[in-house]
Amino acid sequence: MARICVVDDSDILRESVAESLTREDHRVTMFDDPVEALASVKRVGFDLIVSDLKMPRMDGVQLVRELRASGCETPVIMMTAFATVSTAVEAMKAGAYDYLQKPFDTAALTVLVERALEHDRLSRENEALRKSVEDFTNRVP
Amino acid sequence: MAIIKSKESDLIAVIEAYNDVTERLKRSHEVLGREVHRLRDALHEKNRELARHERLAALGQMAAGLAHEIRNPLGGIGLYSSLLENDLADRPKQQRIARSIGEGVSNLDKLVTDILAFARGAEPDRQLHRLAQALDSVSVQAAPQLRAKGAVLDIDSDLYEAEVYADVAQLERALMNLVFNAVDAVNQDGRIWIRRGDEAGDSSLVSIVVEDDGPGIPREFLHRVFDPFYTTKHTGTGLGLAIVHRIIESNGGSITARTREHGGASFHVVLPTSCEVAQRCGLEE
Repeated sequence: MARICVVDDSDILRESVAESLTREDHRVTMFDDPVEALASVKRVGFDLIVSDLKMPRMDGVQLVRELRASGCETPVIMMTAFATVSTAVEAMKAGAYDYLQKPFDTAALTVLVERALEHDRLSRENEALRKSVEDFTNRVP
Repeated sequence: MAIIKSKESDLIAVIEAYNDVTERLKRSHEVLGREVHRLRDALHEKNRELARHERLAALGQMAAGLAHEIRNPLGGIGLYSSLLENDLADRPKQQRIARSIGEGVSNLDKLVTDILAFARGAEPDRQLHRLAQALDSVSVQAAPQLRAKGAVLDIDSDLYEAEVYADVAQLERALMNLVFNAVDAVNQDGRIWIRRGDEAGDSSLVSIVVEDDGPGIPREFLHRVFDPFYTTKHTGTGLGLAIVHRIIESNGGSITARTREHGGASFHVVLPTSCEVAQRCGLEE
């Protein structure tokens, strides 16, 4: 089970994504406002963020930039109605893990969410192992 | 007597000269009349083209916003329908209904994708290519539809070596749309050809003709086939040929629809074969 933050100003999309993820036994918190979501992510901490790309007040790319600037490395999956190469590249450059083109089904959402969580888990594990090796080599005279 | 004869011959000469001038004026008048008629037709055609461009520009502005507004609820409906489909695994009848909703979502999404492709009119990345790549891709992608219809696609081997100065991905899409359009049009076991046309005239242009042996397009509808949402089919979005027209024009070419002499429709595409030709047409900076 992971703690997932879903950010989308569209009620039906936000709630259907949350419903899909809840059925996969994840604990989901929803936000219709990316500014509120940003504050909450910094405060609470989540394992994954699923966010719309185009939203009022702050778009998805800006949300990722703000997160990374604050040192938060939580993986972000973008949802977009315009899956052009340029928007995808922009989101990835900003630090998003991957993107989903609307409309998508539960299988596509679930597979990508699991992959992002697994990638994050492996990254952390890798980092911890690297640190252990460094500590060990530092202790050896 | 001699003086009278001289005056008579002068008069005859004057009359002949007058007749000659009159005849020349008449011929000149006829030529001018034909020219005025031709120019009026050309102006009429340009006005129709201009009106079409204005309609396209308006649609372009609307499409991007519309796509976003439609895809948000569509995304929700799609997700809920796939959840329902999973929930109804033990109730096949109800599960089929949920699947139909999902299929409806896919069809609407295809319409949005087509509108976006049409409205974006993405700036083409023109380069010099051999046509082989686009033609190979078309024959591979069209194979399932051709098999389903028992139709045959013949591609003129001469075209593979031809070069074209265009965005190869856009050209592929345009040719695909023309072939899909032909597959829809032909009867079972129909035939479709992609061949070199003779409109190009010189080596600075290449002409590609996509034609079929289907029922053809009634002459009175030929000028409307590239209009968005105009369709004579029961399926499809009515944007396939409009997208083709948009792509060919943005790549500096032209396309015309015709009815074949022995039945069937033919689409004649003419594209530049070099950057210099595109520059002459004012398409490149």
